[in-house]
Amino acid sequence: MKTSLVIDTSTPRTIAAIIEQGFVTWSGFHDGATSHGEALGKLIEEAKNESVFNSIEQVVVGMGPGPFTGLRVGIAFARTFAMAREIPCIGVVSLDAIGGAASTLAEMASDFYVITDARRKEIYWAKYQKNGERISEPAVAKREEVDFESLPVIEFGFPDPLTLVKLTMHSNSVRTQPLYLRKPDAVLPKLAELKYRAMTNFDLGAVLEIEKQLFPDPWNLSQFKEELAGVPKTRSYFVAEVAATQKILAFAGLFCPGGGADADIQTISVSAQYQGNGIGQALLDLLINAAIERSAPTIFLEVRSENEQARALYAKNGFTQISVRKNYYQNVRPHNKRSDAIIMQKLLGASHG
Amino acid sequence: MGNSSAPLVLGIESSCDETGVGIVLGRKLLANEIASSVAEHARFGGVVPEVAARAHVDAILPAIERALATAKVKLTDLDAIAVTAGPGLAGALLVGASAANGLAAGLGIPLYGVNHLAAHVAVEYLDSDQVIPPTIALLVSGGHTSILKVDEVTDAVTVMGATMDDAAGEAFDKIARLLGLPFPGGPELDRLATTGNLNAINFPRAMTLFTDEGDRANKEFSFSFSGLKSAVARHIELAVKKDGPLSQNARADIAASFQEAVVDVLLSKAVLAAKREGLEHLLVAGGVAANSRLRALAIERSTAAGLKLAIPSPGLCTDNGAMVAALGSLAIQAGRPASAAGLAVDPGAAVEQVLFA
Repeated sequence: MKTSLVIDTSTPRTIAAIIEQGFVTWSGFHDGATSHGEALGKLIEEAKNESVFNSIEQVVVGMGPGPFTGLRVGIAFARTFAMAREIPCIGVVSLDAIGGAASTLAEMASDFYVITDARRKEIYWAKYQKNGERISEPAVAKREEVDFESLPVIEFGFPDPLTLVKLTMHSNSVRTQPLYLRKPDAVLPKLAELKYRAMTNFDLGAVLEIEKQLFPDPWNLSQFKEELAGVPKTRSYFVAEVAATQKILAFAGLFCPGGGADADIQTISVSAQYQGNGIGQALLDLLINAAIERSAPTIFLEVRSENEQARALYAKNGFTQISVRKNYYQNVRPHNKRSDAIIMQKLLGASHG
Repeated sequence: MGNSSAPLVLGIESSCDETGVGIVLGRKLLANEIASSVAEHARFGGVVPEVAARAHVDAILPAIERALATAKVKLTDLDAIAVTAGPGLAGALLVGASAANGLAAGLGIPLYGVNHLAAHVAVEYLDSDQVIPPTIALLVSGGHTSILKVDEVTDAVTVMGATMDDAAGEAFDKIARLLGLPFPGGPELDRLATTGNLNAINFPRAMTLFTDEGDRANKEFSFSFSGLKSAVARHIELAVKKDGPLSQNARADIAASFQEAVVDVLLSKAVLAAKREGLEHLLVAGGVAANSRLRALAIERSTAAGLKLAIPSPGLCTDNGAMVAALGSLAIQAGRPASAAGLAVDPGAAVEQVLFA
């Protein structure tokens, strides 16, 4: 285990620690929901007194979920500290460091829930197995909307520094983007009435524009034509257009050969300016219905690991993560590194055969 | 790599929607990188603080990397980090300050929290060796409109007057919206006004007439633009009622006349302040100082008044990291202390607080 500087500002507690060979060499914390910036500065000043401060090998930072302003303090600091020292910065799900620690320290007898305050009378929550493994995607909801199934709920925990470091070895807990889970409070100008219909070859000009705008590795015309050639036998493709002007804002596609085979979401793409209006959700509903109509037992999809918005949408619709394909996507901005693909599935309850 | 007489400083600016990273060596500008989230805000019609803060987190590391590459220096060469600690949007400021803290802590070098407004003034002194004279600074942007007396830019800045309501840049954005121009309105209105007649309509110049000496003393260096905004809105309403939708010429004339009313007042008061204080130097800075008419009239008026005018190039007038690095560098050269650990940002910081403890 690398010597790690650990930082978490996803809760009202600002946490910093230095972990060496599985032990906490130094740690400090400060409670205050609106003072993460100053608190972290002072804690690190203390950390400088430790001789190991100059031989840190990696930075580990909690990526939330958590109230945005405080969450960003830790993430921004961790990334630049790591840049200055030329060491890796690894982000992990903060909630998992509460769940993981709980299972180790408290010997949980059953599955359990971990919740933290999301302000506005909402909570961030996730479900864990008794061994500390998370089995649901982190989500945000009103407390009364979550069914805790009479299982234990851990409500007043804080991320444990040693657990944060251990989580760097679990691909399910590693994240490259902050888990905001909630959109910014911004009022979009009202969207005109939309119409959803099957995609045709005539739509491909507009579809290609959106594709190029959204993806560093866009599909080309022949690839789309090939997809549409499969409609309706093995494919279902939809577009969302403004009813009055027929301007296409989004599109989505499903691969589903029928005969009891599983379905695959090929794409859900909403033009950047129109995201946040529920169009993605509406298209996802159409794809799920199409899969059910063809008696698919399961839907699969791949999503870029840093696309937290898409992951949250899928999680909200009953998709769970089943595996990670490392370095799957190329040419990902901003670092021109490869990024991972997260494979998710949703069981549809139709039977095989 | 530098030393206290020519320190190598990296400056970070993130008080609003621009993520700026600049590098200076003493007073020499080595790099100025800007990543703007203006496109993300366009669909909301204005800057959304949370959207800006999220954008800063993504933009800051690449901007640092680009600045280092342009300046051909490594992080380990730096003598100090400077960062805007206020005024500005709280969430945005916090991202920049946290990133700056991380760099400084990782490198083991001092951190200077600086004032955004004073930085707009300091940028003018890059790429020049001359002693910086006491100067009157007219600072005009989307968030601020003030007349400052700058005796020493790292230490002694006082406000002689400021806006009582909108900042000039805000007024530009609002009138631009009334004229149907896209966000951001300021530069668009500047463009439209170049084809219009600036004498077409005599819009009111606020706070230029006083009832008595007491009134004058209170207001002569203060500004107000909300009355002007109402006058323009009323003019547009009446014109549309009378003649239908405005023609391109009509819109250009309104733009030019509105713009003239703003810059006329800004410069009259700035020149008067210089005369009153017996100072020869006038500096015009801030985002609105990129406006072509303000620049042209500033040259006219300062020449007529026998004042030496300083005005940064348009790219350095809008928010940027070079100005932050410049102020940090000047502070080091003047022997000012660095910020202590636990630097707090102050969204409402007054310009008198040039450096943050």
